[in-house]
Amino acid sequence: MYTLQNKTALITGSARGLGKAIAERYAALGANIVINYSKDKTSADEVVSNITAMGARVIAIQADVSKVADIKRLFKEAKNAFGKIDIVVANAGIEMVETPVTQFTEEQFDRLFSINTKGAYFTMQQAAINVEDNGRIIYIASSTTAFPVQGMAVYGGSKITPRYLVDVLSKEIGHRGVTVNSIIPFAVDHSGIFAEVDSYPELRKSLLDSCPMGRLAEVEDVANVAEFFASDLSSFVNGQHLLVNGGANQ
Amino acid sequence: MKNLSNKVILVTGASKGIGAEVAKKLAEAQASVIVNYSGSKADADSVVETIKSKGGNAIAIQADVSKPGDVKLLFDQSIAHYGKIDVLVNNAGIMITKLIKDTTDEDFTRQFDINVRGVFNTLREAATRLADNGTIINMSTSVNRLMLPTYGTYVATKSAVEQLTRVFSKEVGSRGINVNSVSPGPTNTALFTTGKPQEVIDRLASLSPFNRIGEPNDIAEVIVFLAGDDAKWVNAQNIGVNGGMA
Repeated sequence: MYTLQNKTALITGSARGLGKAIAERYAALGANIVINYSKDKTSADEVVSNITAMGARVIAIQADVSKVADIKRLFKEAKNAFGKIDIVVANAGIEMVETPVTQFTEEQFDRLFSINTKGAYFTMQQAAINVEDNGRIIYIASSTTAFPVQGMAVYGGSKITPRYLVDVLSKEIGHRGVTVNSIIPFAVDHSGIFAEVDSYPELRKSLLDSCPMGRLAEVEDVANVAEFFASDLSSFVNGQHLLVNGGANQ
Repeated sequence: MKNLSNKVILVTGASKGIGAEVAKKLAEAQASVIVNYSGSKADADSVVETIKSKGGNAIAIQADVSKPGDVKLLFDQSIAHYGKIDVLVNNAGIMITKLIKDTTDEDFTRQFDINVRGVFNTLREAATRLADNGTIINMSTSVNRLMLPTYGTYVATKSAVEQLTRVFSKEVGSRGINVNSVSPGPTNTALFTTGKPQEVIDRLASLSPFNRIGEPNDIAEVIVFLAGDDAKWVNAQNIGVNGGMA
């Protein structure tokens, strides 16, 4: 186990799912935690209670990442609370699957791109401005950008663009010792669209069939890698995109 | 430090350079380490001594990975000594940098024999003899992404290693074994620096946003992560460890 004692980690979209798992992991390693949520205050408060019970310092800050002013406020309040920010995980996002290209609407397109793309861009911009020297910026991407799946055109498109920002930003702030990487999770069970066990049975089956390890990912699998990217073990890993998919073909 | 205390780890080509650093780092994380060497017995013994002097557990075993018989014996002796092998780090390799027009048949064969056949030989043994839920880490190179002149034959061998990694992961996933590769960029070892003027090293360093070449420790830290259970769901991947150069 590595310690994140005296570090502050800000995780967007951390009231539930992957963001929650990463926040709780960092808290278990001793970091101060900034939980962010957009609407689900109840879930965010639960995460705060969990983390407080672990003995870590934590606050929850409401901010809608599709609004740049909200993101700026999020970072400002986080810094006011803990004095500095060492680790930023750009995790907030929404999913949309099983929507053929012939059917998606302008509203759907704008919603996904404003949260997933614009949100990630300005979160990483604020991270680049605010993160301490030798800090960490981690973008949570999607495996559909590596293995395109039908019905995911808008979702995948909105997730692939910030990947380019990871490439560029890693070059721009490497001189400060900051690393910028992305984690590309594969279908995560009990999270996102698979939060319900019986959701999307056909998609679930086809994903399961493609994985040599015979299961979908769990949030802990992704939290393990998020721990690596936050730790000193990865201090020379920069500008990389790591698929965490058990070796699956899609 | 990650705790690898229940793991037996075989590192090929561990007498020098990155391999030696990897062996030491894994031992610091409490793994029992087999330090494989081909010709450099004194160096391998010194790595084992260093590990033991810090309270670690290691043995040195000679084997030329390009020879299937040697590799079989390497597995036999490792398992006889430690009872099992959990993690295989395929690190043994050589690099000959020449323009393709100047590369001899011997240069080509030697690099493929050690870098590709060597990995093939250990994977074939590992398929049935590595412990269930084990881990394999193969060394590739970030030069695969840079296309530098004179590295043609070398990157051909390492590209083959990356493909073996991906396919083998599908073949042993059912036993819970994950297989990944690591691609160091230019790293401060004799393999890399020997014969290179400082200006060449500086130019390569300037390709990295960190403005330096890697140190063996940078690479070893990532191997420690991949060798542990936290990396279990990372499978069939290649991780560049180059400071963001490529």
